[in-house]
Amino acid sequence: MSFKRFDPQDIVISAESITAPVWSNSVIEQTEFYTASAQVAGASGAYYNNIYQTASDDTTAAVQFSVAYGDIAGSGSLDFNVAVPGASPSKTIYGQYRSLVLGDEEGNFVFGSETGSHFYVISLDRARYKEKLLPGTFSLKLSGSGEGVLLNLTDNSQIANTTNFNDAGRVFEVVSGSLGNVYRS
Amino acid sequence: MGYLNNSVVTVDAILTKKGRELLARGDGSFKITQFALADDEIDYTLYNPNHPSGSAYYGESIENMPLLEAFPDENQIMKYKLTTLPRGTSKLPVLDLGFASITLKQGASLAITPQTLNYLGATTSFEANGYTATIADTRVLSTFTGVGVNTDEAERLNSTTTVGTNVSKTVIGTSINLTATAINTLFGTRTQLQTTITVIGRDSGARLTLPVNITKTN
Repeated sequence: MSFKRFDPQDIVISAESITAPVWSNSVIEQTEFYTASAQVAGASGAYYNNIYQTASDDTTAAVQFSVAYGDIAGSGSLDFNVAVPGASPSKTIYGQYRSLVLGDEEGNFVFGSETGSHFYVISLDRARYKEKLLPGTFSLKLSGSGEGVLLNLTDNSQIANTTNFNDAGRVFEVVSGSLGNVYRS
Repeated sequence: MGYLNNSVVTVDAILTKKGRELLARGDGSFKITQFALADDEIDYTLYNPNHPSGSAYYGESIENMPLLEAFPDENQIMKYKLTTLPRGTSKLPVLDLGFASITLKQGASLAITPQTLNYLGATTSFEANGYTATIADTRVLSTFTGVGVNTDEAERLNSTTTVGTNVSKTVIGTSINLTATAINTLFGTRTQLQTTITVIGRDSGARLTLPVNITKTN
């Protein structure tokens, strides 16, 4: 007989966590970023830009994350209708994330001690995000226009004694630092 | 989550963590019998009944909005479900827990008995199928149980234990009992632990989230 019936001892139940790098092909650090000109110029480009790990026409190209900009007054993007100033994609994005994160259409985003009227959002593609991101592994390097100017950001999970929650669940602050190590001096 | 392409009609269906758990049991627990609709992402302040181009454009900002992919965490998606209420309902049901926030000293206990206001014509009522309560960070409580609902689903949820990690826990009952942790380690240098509790009426869909503060006494 070719087949053998499964017995209980043939099955191993494991509670081991499975972790993997976020980016495609298990790349740990994504250093090259590409947009798709058709998406940027299209209707959705007014709301967000998709970012790929390689040229978007490459057969292996996959969306890694999207970048969007939200502004409470609608600044930063063209109005839907010139007769209705302020009603624009950036205002829609602001309202969308206000509903999702705060659960309150009248709420305000507070970053540290400052109330923010605008923000950039990085939304990881679900295929990258999988189930959740491990706190303390986030590192974002932003370069400025000046030579050698680099802003290093990370989450504050490793120094936060308690975890804060809002309508979106557990939240951490993005602070100066790298890979969970917060720069404090 | 990334954005869905809203130039075409898209249905994005995934299993949540809970769905995967049920599927993995392989005992027939995974059985889709109901569906619900929700509008978590919609900001209705964007609706403009004064649009100069007329009523066809009142919802312009909302209807053009790109939507995000479905979330795999059942606690983070479909929080604001659409509900069916009797014709003529002028007030939406809301929950009253008797508190604006909950503050407990270490080791202290509290029983919450939610009431629903404005539901099915009654000013106040207790929902027949009880309430679900979710504590966002189960570490801050030493006990968290629901009592008063004896269905299999409720008993399974109420008997679930966690391994001391920073995860949420959900229970079902007509009354919710909670006891603050007596462990000092969690506090570090702080004098308070903070989290939230979310209570949902299982019949009305009314939902209320309250902050929970645990104060250090030892």
